[in-house]
Amino acid sequence: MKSVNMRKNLARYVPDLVRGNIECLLLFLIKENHETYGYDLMREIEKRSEGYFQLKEGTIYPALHRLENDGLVSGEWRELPGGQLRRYYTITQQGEQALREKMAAWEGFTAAVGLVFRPRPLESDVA
Amino acid sequence: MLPDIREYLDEVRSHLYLDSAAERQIIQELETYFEQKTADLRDFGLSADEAARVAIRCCGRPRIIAQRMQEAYGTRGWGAALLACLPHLLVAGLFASHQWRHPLITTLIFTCVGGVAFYAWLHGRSRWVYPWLGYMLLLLIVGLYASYPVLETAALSLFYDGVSGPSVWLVLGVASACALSIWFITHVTLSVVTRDWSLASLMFLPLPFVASWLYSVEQAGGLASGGASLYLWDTRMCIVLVIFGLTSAVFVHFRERALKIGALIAVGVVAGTMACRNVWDGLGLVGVAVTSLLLLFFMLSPAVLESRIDHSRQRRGIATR
Repeated sequence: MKSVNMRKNLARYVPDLVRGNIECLLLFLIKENHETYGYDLMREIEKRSEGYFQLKEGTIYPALHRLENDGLVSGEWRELPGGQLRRYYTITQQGEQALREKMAAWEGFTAAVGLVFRPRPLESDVA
Repeated sequence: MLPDIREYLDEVRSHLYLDSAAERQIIQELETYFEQKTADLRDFGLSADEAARVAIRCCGRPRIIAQRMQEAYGTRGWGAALLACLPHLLVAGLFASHQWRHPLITTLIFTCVGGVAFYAWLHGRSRWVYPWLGYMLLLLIVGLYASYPVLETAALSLFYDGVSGPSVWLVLGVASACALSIWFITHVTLSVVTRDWSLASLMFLPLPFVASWLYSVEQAGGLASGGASLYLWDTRMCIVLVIFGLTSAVFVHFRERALKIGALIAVGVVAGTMACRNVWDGLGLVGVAVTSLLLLFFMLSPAVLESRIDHSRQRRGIATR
């Protein structure tokens, strides 16, 4: 019973973590690739995380539109040789600033969590 | 494009309530996704139909993706929210200062409100314009009500001897103005409802409350009477209009659709019920319940109208939304 509850809690916990960081992930990859598109971002996140993140399209595309409406990325339609249209995203200056802030916040957060997770020193060690 | 994917995209579109350019962009991007995803799945050996089904499953429920897109396009900043609450605050100011009977100040305020509404209606129709439009339509409705005695007298003079009617030119002028007003009210209401029924509810939010106030003014002797009892409602009007202003700001600013519509309907029903209870003193619990239900129906009637318009268009084979 306890392990079933833990699995249920973990299933709720991880999506919350993803939701809070999806924009940071997208900004980072858009910056690294200079320009990219939604489907490619989805595949790259899955590949780089070795399958840990399997983000649904219903998460990626609204996040991209949010970033664009906030002015953190800019999107442009391009016609491919086969005649299809694809929307490419590039990071803006505002987006780069936001990315720096988010990454700094993430590093601070993970460092603090690491400190809390560190085992308490034994009293004999302190003495 | 495969029928399943087309049907999925149509359903996503039916749950979007954005301007047409934003909706086109969203649907186009999803089309691109489906092209790429189905191509990849077909490379794995799936048939076209199987690939479409898997791609649709991966995308998730159309209503959810539309809801998330809707939230992504929510208005940023408090500027639009402030603009949305401004007409309510301007009219509340008239009641707070007891100047609503002052012809110059009232004309100035309502000309300003009408002008902004008309200009914004023609140029872009941002979400904040709908409370302004509501007051413009309210003015037209009050105008129609005020024209009734002229038209009534004219009709009586036609059917009965010995009843002198107003001049023909006055009657023609009033009748034309009424016809134009009715056409404009209908046209605006239908345009707004087909865009998003909740915007129509936002537009008509003050209507039941102001109608109750007008009724109580008539009971107190009419606008021209000038008695002190005319001003009994001023404080209540001011408070409720400020609440309407805050509700409009919440509606325009926040993205979550359920929150916006819930706030709008709750405030509309409660304010209207309070107003009716004040107008009809003896209203008991059953009366209050019936009034609340009627007001709830009024606030939700744009949703009913929108679904009827969609049904009618579907029957005639016209693409909806």
